[in-house]
Amino acid sequence: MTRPDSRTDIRLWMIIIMCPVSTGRKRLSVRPGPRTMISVSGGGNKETQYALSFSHFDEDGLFTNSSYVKNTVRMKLNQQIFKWLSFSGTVTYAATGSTGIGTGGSTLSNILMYRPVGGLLTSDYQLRYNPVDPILDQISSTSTTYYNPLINAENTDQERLTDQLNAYGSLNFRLAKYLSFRTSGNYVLSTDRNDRFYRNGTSTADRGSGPYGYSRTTRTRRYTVTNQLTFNRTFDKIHKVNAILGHETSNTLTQWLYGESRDFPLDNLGVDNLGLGAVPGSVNSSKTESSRLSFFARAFYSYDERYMLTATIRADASSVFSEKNKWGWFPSFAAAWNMANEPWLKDVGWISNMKLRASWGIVGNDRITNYLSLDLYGYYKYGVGEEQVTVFSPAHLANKDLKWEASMTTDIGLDLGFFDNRLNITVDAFIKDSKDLLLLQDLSFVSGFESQWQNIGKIRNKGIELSINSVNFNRRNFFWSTDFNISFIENTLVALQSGRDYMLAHTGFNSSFSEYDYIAIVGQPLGNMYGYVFDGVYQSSDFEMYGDGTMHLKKGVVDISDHAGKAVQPGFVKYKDMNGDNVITPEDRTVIGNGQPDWYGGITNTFNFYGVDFSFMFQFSYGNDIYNAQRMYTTQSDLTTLNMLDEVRYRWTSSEATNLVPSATGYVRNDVYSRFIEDGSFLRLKNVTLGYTLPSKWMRKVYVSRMRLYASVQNLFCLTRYSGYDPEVSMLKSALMPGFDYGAYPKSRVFTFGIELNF
Amino acid sequence: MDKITGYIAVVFMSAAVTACSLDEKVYTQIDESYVTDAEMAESVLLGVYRDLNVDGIYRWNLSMMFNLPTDEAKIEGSSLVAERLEGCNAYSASSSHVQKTWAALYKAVYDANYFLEMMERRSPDFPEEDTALCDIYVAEARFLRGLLYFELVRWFGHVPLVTSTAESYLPSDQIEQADPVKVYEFIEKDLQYAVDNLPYASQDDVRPDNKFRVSKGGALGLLAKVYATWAGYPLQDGAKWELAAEIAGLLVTSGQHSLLPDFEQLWRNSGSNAWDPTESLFELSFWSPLSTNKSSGRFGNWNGVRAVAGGLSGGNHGHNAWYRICPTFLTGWKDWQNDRRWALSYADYQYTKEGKVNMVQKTIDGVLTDITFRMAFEATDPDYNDSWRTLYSLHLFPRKWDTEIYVPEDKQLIDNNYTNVNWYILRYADVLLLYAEALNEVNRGPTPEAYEAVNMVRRRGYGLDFSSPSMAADLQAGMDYETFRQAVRDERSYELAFEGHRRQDLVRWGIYCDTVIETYQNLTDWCDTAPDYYLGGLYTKKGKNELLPIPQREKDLCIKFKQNPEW
Repeated sequence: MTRPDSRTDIRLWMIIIMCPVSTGRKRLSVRPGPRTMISVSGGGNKETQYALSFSHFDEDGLFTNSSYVKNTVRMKLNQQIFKWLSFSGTVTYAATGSTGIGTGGSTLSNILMYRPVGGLLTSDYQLRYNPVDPILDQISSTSTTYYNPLINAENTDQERLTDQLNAYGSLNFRLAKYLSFRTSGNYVLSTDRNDRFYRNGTSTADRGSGPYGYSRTTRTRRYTVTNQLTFNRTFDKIHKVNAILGHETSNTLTQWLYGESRDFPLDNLGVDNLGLGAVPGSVNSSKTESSRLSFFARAFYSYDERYMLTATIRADASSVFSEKNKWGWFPSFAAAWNMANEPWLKDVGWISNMKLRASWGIVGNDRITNYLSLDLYGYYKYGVGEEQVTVFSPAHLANKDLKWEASMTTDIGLDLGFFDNRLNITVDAFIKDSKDLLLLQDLSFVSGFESQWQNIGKIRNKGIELSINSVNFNRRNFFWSTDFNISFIENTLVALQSGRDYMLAHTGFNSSFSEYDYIAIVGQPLGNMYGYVFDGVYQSSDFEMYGDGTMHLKKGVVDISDHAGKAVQPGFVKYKDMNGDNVITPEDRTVIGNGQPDWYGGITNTFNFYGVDFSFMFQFSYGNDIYNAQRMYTTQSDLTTLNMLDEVRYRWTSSEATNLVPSATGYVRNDVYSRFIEDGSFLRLKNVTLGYTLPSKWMRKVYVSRMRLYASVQNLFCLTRYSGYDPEVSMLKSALMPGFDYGAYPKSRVFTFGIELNF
Repeated sequence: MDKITGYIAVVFMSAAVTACSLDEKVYTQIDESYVTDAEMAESVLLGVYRDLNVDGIYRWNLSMMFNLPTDEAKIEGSSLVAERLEGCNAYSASSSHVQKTWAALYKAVYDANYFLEMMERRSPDFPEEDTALCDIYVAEARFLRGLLYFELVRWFGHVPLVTSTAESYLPSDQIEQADPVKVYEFIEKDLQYAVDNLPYASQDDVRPDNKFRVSKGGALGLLAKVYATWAGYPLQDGAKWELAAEIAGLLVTSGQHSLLPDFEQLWRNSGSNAWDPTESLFELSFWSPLSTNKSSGRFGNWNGVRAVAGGLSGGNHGHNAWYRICPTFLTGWKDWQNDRRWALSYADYQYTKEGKVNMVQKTIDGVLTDITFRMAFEATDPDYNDSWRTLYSLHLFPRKWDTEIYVPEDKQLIDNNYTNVNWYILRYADVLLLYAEALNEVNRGPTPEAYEAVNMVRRRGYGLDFSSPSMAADLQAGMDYETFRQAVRDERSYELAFEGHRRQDLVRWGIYCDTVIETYQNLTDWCDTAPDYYLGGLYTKKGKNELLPIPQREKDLCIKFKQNPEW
């Protein structure tokens, strides 16, 4: 960013403006897409350099009543104070604002399951503008699915404003010729305000207490201070030594304040004045703090740019563990052999780079919430007579044995460069063993608690990563390059602390679906989906008809009656009997899919031809399954008053006995079975861009050094057999439960037209 | 010179930074060290009381939902959507409501165990004058633990017996179900301790306030009920009848409790948060001054009179009224013409924008006329009859918690989903009837005390003075064992209708599933379509639905668990 050759020179470097439109999959959601503006300027002299940048981004969301805005300002200053002391500092301020309720939870389901047409008894107009389905309101007790999802979204205000200030400063002391000391500090302050207001017409306001709103402000302050002493010297021109001795401390403090109010006399002002609510709902606040302390030493030695060795040792302590387990020791070693610098390779002209790397090291992980090792009380409100009192009971089951999770990684890599690095190949093979994995372990409720954080066991993550970059053509007016990368990674559960050979996990995406739907089995890859195996639909031919009109299953046909709670009939879903007892029981659940891909990667091609640039990028993934809970939820065909996905048309009926979809009532509610596990492999054209850079001689006259016009499309198409919106989905942040889809926000196809100006 | 300043700065900065504490500072929560006197201990004890007020236990599942279906009541509708699965016995072991109940009961057991252990550790350091209070608090916690295990054992049958918090650290695959007899013996010990150490509510001079807290009467009453249940299905330990009669007798002869003179006063009290320990032996209090639902309940809402959405708002109404009465329960009610409780038990109306509106209306001679349930019941004209009767097989609501009648204006919450209505766990009338039942069992025939106990309940129900004999209300003298047993069973149904006792009564008598299937058939007599709104009749299975299933999640985690029969 700096231009040391020019004294006190202020320049505006670049402006990019984009003005796109995007189209969504749903009819009502074609909206203008994101706009971006970036400007950068900088300057300075020998002692002082600075840079200033500003960027703006805003976008209307795909979904009604949603948007996103981000403004960022960044200032950077380097100052040589004395010959032996320099200062470097960066201040970044970012303000983000987003609105919209998203599609999470049951929102997407409510959209899909709302009646799409008015029918004979109501008009489409009534259905569109009535807050509840006018027919369903008459016949049954209300439930959220009877509320108009559009009116609901239009009348729910959700706003989130985040301000983040990040200040970094460091002082560098040159103590001696080979010895330097740096002390640096980083201070991050972020304030996050999250407001929600339910106006009249939303199910929350109608079923609860009229208009209702809440606001939560969270302030997070984090600082890090690092001191490090560096020795850097080259002996006899070929022995390079670099040694670091350091120390770091950090502290995070989080506070929030929450207020809610109900029964607003009018809903125009929304959440901006909670005092208008007739009844103050609740006020709450919190404050938590955690800190970490580390010491580290690192030594690097290189011989003749050919052999390199690094050794590091860290001692980290974290406040989140109990007294006896605060400290963890994490060593690492790395070695590299730069063969390209060997005399016997130096003369081989077509090899420009050849480097063999090997490393072994352990890193620690303490990312758990605070206070898990302490016995603490939670508090509740309890009403005695006409008095509300605060009462206490144990908040969780403390685990005083929690300790650092340690990941030991062994990596062997090879970097190859040919023909002046026109062709670069990098291959890495690694094995990462994470032991004492920190995870929320399900407990039997008999313990009084649902779960407890534990060091549950060991997983192994091994794989091969390959990337190839090549410049296929590099002529004056024709340039073509290709970047390709592919990864083959497998996560395996190696052992469990409990000594058992499996561990169950559940998504709990909806309160009715409480069953375990993922299983981790020792010796098998993580991400196994768990449930019954779909085996078609019971047909009339599976039954013996008796003279009195009754039906009985033929001998040898698996019986699901007990599991279903009623006698099986033709059209009922059939599961595979895994244990061979000829009846379906929960014992017949098994692994029905896996959310991990066998391999994934991407390929990008870039062309440049007489100022015209063209690039496209594909992404791909193969061999992963997706657990389409969204589809499972929106095909519960015995919910007769709701809209269903199209496949319900192909259900078994007595006149059209299909074997693909069970009859309308022929399934066991809340059972997870393999019909909803789908192949998630895909090939996506992630981006296509076509641009033209105007010849610079035209532009110089208007003091513009470069001007580029371009158009691009994101997510132009995606080849996949997945029936949901987006195969690139994994909603849960758990390593145990990849490839899960329920209410995921769909990806948008974005068409962008832009101008890029450099000054 | 400059360099020296630099070195000083280095030393200074390094020193400043090492001063960093790794202790976890807790700002918003407290721990046991704050419990230094009985007052603070009480707020931990009340934490155990509050544990009962959750959806999994009495706020919803064990008071209402899992009590359906019976011969008295059923769930709304003719489909199996949402909670109708539970209300029709059509759920599986993976029902989230079953899991929630199991989880809530064991969380409460943990809290009770914790409280008892904490008192052992902490109370020796409490001020001297707190000793008497502490003894009572410990007895209360043991009563609550006994009650929790009673619910666990009668609903789930085979449950692990956790008696200390240390057991929570046991790996799930080592947890085992206990012999139900062992569980009953444990309950017996806890309740006997409570009986021995609690004062009667009216003689309580230790606790500054015993509102909605258990006293000796509640402990005796529950112990009698535990014995009566132990004597019934499935353990059928007949010897326990004698103990049931003895313990109930202690309460009845103590003179410390009695019936309220007016049956309807019970519902005025529970609707207005009024505490009167005369008849209420153990009662749950739901009260929230604000609209948040944190300590409010669902009574009068889920089991209340229906309010049509968009009808009344800004009050507590049965927007989620899912609890329905079986018309056959009302038509089979013996002597319903004279029994005041009959009309006080059901609502054949709902609340709409126009206010209270009869469920069935018909234009007769140009005038919109209410067709009451009674008219539908007594009508002979088959043309009208069927459409009226269909509607009444769909919509008849319990009236005991009609919030429009029983909740005073100033006590209504600004929330349509929750209420401040209280819930009786044990009434004196319940114990009187148990007493009569136990005496009849012990003596293989009714004794004069047994007669008197039932008759007191009946007289009050007929609106008469319960202490003077009445020709109209009293049971016919000279009944044999079987007849009297049936009379008491009927009486329990009339007196305690919809109060969360019926299913467990039928189970301990060993007739639950038969009764449900019989009700399904009887409904045809009311009208042809009535059984369509009683799907429980199709899903209830003898030998299975007497117990809830062990939640599938628990069975998956605890490999030593055995599932209940047929589940």
